[in-house]
Amino acid sequence: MNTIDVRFPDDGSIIDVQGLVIPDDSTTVVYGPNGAGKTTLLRRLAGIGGTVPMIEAAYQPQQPYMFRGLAGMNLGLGLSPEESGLAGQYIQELGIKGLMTEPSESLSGGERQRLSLARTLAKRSDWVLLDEPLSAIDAADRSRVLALLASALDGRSAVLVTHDLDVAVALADRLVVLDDGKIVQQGPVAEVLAAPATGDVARIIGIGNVISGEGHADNGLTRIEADGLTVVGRGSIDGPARAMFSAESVVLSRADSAPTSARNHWVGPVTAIRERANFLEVVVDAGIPIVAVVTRGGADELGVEIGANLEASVKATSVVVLPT
Amino acid sequence: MEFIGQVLSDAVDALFEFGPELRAVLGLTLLLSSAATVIGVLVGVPLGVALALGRFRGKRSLRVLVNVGMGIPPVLVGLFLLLLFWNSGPFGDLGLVFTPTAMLIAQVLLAIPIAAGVTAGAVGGLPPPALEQLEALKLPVWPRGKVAVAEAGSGVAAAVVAAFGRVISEVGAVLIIGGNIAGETRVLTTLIVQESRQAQFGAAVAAGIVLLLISLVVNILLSRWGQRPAGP
Repeated sequence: MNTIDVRFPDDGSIIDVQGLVIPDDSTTVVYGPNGAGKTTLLRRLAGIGGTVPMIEAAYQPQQPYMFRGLAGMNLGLGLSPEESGLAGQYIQELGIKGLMTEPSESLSGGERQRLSLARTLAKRSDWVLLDEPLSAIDAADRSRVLALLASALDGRSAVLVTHDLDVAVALADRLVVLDDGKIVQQGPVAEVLAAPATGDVARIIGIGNVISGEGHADNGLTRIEADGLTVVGRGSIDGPARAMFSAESVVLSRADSAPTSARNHWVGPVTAIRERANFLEVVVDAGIPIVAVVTRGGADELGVEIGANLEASVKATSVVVLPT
Repeated sequence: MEFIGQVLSDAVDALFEFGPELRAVLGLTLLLSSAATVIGVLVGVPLGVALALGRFRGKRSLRVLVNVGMGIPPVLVGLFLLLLFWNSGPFGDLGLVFTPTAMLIAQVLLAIPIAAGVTAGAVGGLPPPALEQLEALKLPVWPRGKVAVAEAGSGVAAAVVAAFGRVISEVGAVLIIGGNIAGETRVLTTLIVQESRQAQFGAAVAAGIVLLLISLVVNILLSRWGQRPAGP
């Protein structure tokens, strides 16, 4: 495996990515909030805007631009006949084959993005660089676009930039978390997700619960005494520590229900219910607010409402503990 | 007012008569202007695209040269060519002084910077995502220029109009290098100069009206081209 070791804070650019490692033959996802410097990084890699390319790649900008003329003309731009054939296959899989005889102006943002994706992926280049390739894709088309991306990127070298954790998790072999122009963590995706290096990483990758306190190593686990509650998690840490677990790992049940095997369970009133796309985010005040997500059906069954007393439980193995 | 009325009436007479001299002058004007525009555009538009999109040594100097050329007084171009082509000058052997060929060269030199400058502005002024996409597609030079020109359609049409406007309205260069010889190197603008000097105002205005009509027709034709969507 070859890796590209990126070092370029040498030219006063706003991002500092010393030590960024991008292996070939795999998909590296650069993940971070808006404004983290992801696009700047990708443009530098591709050599867009007057710099020397660091990677010779098929590059797709965040806002794919359609030139005047037919959609089909745009699809073929820069492609060899053989590549065009492959692009034709991709547009069929992406459900936009019928649009190729339409003027490009009539395409929606999502259709433009799919067309551009077909063109970029069809290009026979060793590397593929994609900037937010699903940002304009409708929810209805997401899964097929993701499926095509996953199969087209399989075995190729790719760098993909996104602020969408679902996309990152679906496609990444390696995850690079970028915040405020700096790499805050990089590594195999499972490793980064399971063990965020810092509270910032945890926050960025959407771990809803971060609890700080005094850690006590205890039989292969760490018990953290925080202000108001105790959390048991993985690791053996004595001293100041931080426990982190995702809202998804928290199970809600009635306060009077039978005990479970989970090492952590706290009882408290519901203090907030927030609507999310397909689920509800519920905050239980167990001395410290604990964030959990439940489906709407689950919430109805439980009788989730403000003030309702619920038990929040989480397995110790789902809790990452890091020293602070 | 009586004077102006008389001039206009003479001009209308001259237009209706449309004698052999006016016809010859109109013919040479159209031939020279269109040939100079075509050559100027063929050189100037690619030059403008290169200035807008290309990265090469000497680009900055070339841009300065084009900017200077856009505003250079035509008489200077005429004088410069006259010195080059003068019998005892470096290219005197070519015998080009006071010939339509020399006039064409002068007009091409005037048309190129205008076509290049306006094209560079139009292509360089494309929306940033369009320019980024052009960069991302990594097309070879000519296809890339073709896409850029098609995208900047009306802006490039404006470059053609501006180049044509520059050469057909220009009098200084063709007067000096062409010599305004009746039946040989006289064009509409130099005809106007000639007739005005001899107080033949009716004939001068008639030539002016013809000149205006040509500009009008060319502008209408080219603006229709500019508005047409690009592509097959």
